[in-house]
Amino acid sequence: MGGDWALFLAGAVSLAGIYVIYTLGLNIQFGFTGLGNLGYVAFFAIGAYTSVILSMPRPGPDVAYIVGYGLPMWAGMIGGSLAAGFFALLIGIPTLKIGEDYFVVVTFAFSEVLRYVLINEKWLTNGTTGFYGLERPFGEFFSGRAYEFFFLFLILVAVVIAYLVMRKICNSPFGRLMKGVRENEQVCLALGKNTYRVKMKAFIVGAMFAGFAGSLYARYATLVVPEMFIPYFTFVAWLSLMIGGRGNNKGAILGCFIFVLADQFTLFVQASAAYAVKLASLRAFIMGALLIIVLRWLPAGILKEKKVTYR
Amino acid sequence: MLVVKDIHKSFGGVKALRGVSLKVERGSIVGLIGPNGSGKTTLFNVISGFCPKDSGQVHFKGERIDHLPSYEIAMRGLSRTFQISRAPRGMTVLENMLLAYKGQIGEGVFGALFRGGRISKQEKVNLKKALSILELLGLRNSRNEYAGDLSGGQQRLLSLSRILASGPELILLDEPTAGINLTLVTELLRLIKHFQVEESKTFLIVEHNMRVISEICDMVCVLVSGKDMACGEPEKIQKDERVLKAYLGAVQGDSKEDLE
Amino acid sequence: MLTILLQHTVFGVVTGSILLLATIGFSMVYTTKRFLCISHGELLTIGAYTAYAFHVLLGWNLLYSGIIAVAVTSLVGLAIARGLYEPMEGHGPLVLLFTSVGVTFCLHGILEFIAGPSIRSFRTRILPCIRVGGIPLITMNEIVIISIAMGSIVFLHVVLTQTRIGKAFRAMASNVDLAMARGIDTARISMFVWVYASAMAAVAGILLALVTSVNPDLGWTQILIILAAAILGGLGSIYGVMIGAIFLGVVMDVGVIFFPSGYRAAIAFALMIIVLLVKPKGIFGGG
Repeated sequence: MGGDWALFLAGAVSLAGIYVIYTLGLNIQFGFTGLGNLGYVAFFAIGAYTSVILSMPRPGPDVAYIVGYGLPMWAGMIGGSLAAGFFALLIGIPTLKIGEDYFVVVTFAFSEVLRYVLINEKWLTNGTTGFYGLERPFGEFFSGRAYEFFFLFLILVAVVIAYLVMRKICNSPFGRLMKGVRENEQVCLALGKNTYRVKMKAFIVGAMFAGFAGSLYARYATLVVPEMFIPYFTFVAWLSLMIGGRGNNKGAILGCFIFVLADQFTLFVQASAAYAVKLASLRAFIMGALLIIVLRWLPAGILKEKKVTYR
Repeated sequence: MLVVKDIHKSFGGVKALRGVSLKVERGSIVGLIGPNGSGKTTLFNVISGFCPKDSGQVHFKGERIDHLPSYEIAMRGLSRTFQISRAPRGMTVLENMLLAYKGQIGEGVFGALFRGGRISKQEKVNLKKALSILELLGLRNSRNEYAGDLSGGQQRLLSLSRILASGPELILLDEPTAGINLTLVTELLRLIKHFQVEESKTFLIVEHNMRVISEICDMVCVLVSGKDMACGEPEKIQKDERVLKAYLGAVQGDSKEDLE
Repeated sequence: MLTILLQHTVFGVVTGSILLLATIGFSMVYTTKRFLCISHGELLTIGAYTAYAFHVLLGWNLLYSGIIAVAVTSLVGLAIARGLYEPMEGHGPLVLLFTSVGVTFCLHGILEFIAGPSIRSFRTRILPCIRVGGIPLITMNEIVIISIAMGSIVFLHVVLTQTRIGKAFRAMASNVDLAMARGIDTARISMFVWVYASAMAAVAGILLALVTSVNPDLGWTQILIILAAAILGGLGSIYGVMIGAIFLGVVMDVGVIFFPSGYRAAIAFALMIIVLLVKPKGIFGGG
């Protein structure tokens, strides 16, 4: 029983790590720059699918899809991240100029349209069947249990790198500029800052984080299906940010861990299939209640944004 | 330095500006007065690029700027303050100041990631400059406070400091003395004069406070119902019959503010 | 070909009618409270399940079950609004939006917990089709649905133009502060809006369940299309929304003739995105 716990924890923490990278991207877009991206999961999906498509072997004649370029896994991951950034650029051009309210709605609609494309365009994504049986990085060198811990190690390395990059960006004048745009865009314009460019950069960088997280997620789950990219996962990132503290990277990490561990724990606890559904609805309820409570009484999250001081 | 020619602007059916023209000479302080609703803030918005005009031209330093977006105009040296300014709550006074400096390498993503050394050099220089301006405006002690925590008057001073830090040549001030106490007004006037004389800045100030007009303005322009009515030296304008009629006739409340 | 086109257009009008009922309330809430209330979708589900409980489980008459469902949903909608949304109004539209998302998850969780995920249906008789020129065009059920929608339009129009509450609502819609200054009791108008919106949502939910099925995701799948219809018609324009809803219904159901049926909802979103980029105030102008 003890062994199961360790394995479970390794899996849960790996997932939390992936979500951390995912949520940090949203922290750039929303926490720092104030962009209400309600379709964030779209970039997660683009990253996942692109990385898989790039590194899949050439397809045989008897499958529905025609893609697969056999590139090495690391190339796929970079490609996933870049693709997500590229789509952010495409979407950003028309949408960053319309009002806040509308941006929220359009991004949401975009993520759903993307999901429909993922479901329907079988030549690209193999529809609802998706791609399964994916290889895991360095899977040949370890077996079974040992691999789970190795994978966890890989994820933690990725998280550390992502966190350091975040810190560099957020503590720089660019971070200050993002905050300025969030707090009072007009003042920034009057100071000669091209606020549209700032928002676009934040949008793209955030999307790249999501894309990278997506490519890791594909290797964690060893499959990609459209069902994995429903709006629920946008709310996972938002909720983690809101609970943990938006604008605060450590808060994002805290929020993710609280969220994933609570979420995964209910999965672990379920006794039988009959309870599974009950638990799923309970999870939805708890998520919603948590969101309401946090918004009502802790609108800035648990950890406040760091105050930048000088001597 | 600034030439405004025949600006027209309507909102829906309401004509806010009906052919406004005015000139601001380099190094001078020009006041813009007029009853409430005469279009002063709209004119500011048009000049600084925050509001598109229907027709007319705006020339700054010999260059036509009326088709440029607001940040481009600001980059060329024309800055403005806002009448109702939401102070950035999540940023400190110093952060606000540092935001203002132009040409920061760290403001792009690649710069932020890879030019760390040069950035900290720039930051040090800007920090020194910012502290000296804050010192001048008496805000140095609150430098690490959140801007939103300052008093109304201090926030006004902060927005002025911020604009000054960005190094503009022409500054549009939208009712800088509204809602601040007498001593602070004196301080503010001293500072504006200081910047005009010591650093050859040019100012265009929208004001209701006649004291500001008579004490520091070299020229005054009067805007009534969207049209420029008269332009001249403060003493002349204050005695001008038409101006008095337009002002007192328009809103009684104005004269109360002047007495304040 | 013409037959198919006609039949699909009729489907579209039916879909649009139901969508109209659902979207009117959503748009009215946006007009008065200035936020997109995502939990509106769940009110459809609540209405459908309540009616189901009384009609199928308890065997009551469909009409009475419907009335009870409307009453229950109105109470729930009002309670949530009073208890959760109104106290948070100062926090801005984005916070309210997310609060409504939280409410949506809560309601969805509760409903699914109580009722389970299985798909159920109202066992209604299929009434004979009305044929025009030998083609089966429309059933009695569908005529009833369209009539209910049209009836509600007339009702709302009368309320908005003839009654004090209606006129007060229109005043609030154009300028809340001015309305308050004129002594209009904004609190009472808000209550009216929440109740009416919830009631219409319940009706829409019941009709939708009659036409499709009773399942926990009923409202959730609709809310996005409701959003699209509201934006299409122009947030803040009640009449625009009415036209927008019917239009969207027809476009969706005619669209599936040409696109794979899986894209039906995507057509709605694509249309919404296009409208937002080209004419953000909606096809029929801003309120």
